[in-house]
Amino acid sequence: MSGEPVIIGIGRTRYTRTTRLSAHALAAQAITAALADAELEPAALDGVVRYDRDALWEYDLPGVMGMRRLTFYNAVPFSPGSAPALVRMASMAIRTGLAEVVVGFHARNGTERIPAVAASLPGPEQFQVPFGVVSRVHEAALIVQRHAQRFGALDRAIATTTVAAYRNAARNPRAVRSKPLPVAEYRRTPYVAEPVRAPDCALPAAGAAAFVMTTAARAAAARRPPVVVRGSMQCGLPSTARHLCEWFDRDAHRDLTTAARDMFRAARRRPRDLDLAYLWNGIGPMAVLALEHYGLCKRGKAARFVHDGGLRTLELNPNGGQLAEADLDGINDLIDAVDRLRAPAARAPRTALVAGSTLEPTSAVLLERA
Amino acid sequence: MPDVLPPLPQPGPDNREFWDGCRRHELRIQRCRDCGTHRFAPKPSCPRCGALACEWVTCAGTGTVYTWTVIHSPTLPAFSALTPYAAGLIELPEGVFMTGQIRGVDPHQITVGMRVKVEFDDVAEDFSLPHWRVV
Repeated sequence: MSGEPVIIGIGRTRYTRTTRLSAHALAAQAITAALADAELEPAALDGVVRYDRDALWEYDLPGVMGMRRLTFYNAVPFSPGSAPALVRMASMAIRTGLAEVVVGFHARNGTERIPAVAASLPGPEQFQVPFGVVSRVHEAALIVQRHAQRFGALDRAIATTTVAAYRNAARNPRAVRSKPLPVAEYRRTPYVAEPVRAPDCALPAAGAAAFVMTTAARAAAARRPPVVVRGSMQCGLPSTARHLCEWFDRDAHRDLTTAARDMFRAARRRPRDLDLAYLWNGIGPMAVLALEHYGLCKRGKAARFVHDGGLRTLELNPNGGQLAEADLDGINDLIDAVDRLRAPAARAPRTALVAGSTLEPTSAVLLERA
Repeated sequence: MPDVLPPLPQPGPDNREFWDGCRRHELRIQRCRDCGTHRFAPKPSCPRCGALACEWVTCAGTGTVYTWTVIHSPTLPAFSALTPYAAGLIELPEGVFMTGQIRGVDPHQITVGMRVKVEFDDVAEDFSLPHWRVV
């Protein structure tokens, strides 16, 4: 279909632990690179999508980037669940004709999120933090423990997937974690909150990434093959950082599996068609649980899937993910997926799932090489 | 009272009744006047039927462990002297979950379904926090 939305360019900065550059400068670098990759001038852009907490606002763009007109712009609520939603929103604008060429981006320079906890808590976190359930790792640990009690220990599956993420990152020159982590060494590391260990937790990172989308018709002239957005979803889960009790109360698993099933059905694809799966691993074990959420295996079978060859035909977080490539709120997973789908090799992957953190309102996209 | 206070709640119109109850060592939650569903954390409408009218009731103060973890680090100064400590979600017979520390046994002996009873820590003059002790 000629009006079908496709991704025609990607750009990214270096990913680092810290930076002296502003988030604004990083975003501008990534957008410029994405436009160059798409063989477009800034004047070709008419739409922008971003996180609502980025340093570079759409209002800044015409002046900064040489955009002539900005006639579609929107922001998704910031969270590590939201990167695929940027593609979903840009797709909507292109499919409906509200915009013709849209850029989506996210930048972090490591200073914008200061984890200060106020002395006095006005919001719903007052029902968690004063009791000692303070961080997202604590919240994830409670989710993983509940699963383990119901369906059996996950420790080995967590170790396997975390070590695999480090191994993938060691082969990825962009990754901020460049050293492999042997399983024996992993097992000697301290717990943060059982069963989550220190190396299961992403480190703060700095960097930016951007993508450019347009219609398939307009992309037909491009030198590089576009990547098609075959399907997308959003799922309004309660955020565990504010509504941990509600996350359990709502049955997040059911909400996620329903949304994911609907996405696959609408795309006429099945989980077994996937070559690549980017499942958010900013807290490593959450990627193990996401295997069930996205229907790659049945509920309660994630550990068996990991150990009995499920990952032989499917590459999980081939870049190392948030855990080992860089913790950039998921935007880098999206860009890596597009990059791999455009690889020229005959055995290059065809279908990828990119899914955000399931600890908050989340989103996912199904991407395919054209 | 502990040397370093944890961050404390700032009561607002929707949740003041809960914290006032804690100060009297009573566990107060909302019940929908239309469908009778209990809810927690406090909120202005019923998550099940959407009705706005509610009443506050006092819980039995009992529950069972729904999930738990043993927290080692890193954490706020107020909790550093406690590590490792057990914290979890308690399922109340009224049908709601609450977060709190789980006390009275070795953290590694805790199991899902274990019965617990509320206990209140008077952490400040106007604040008491409900935690849970294995019975």
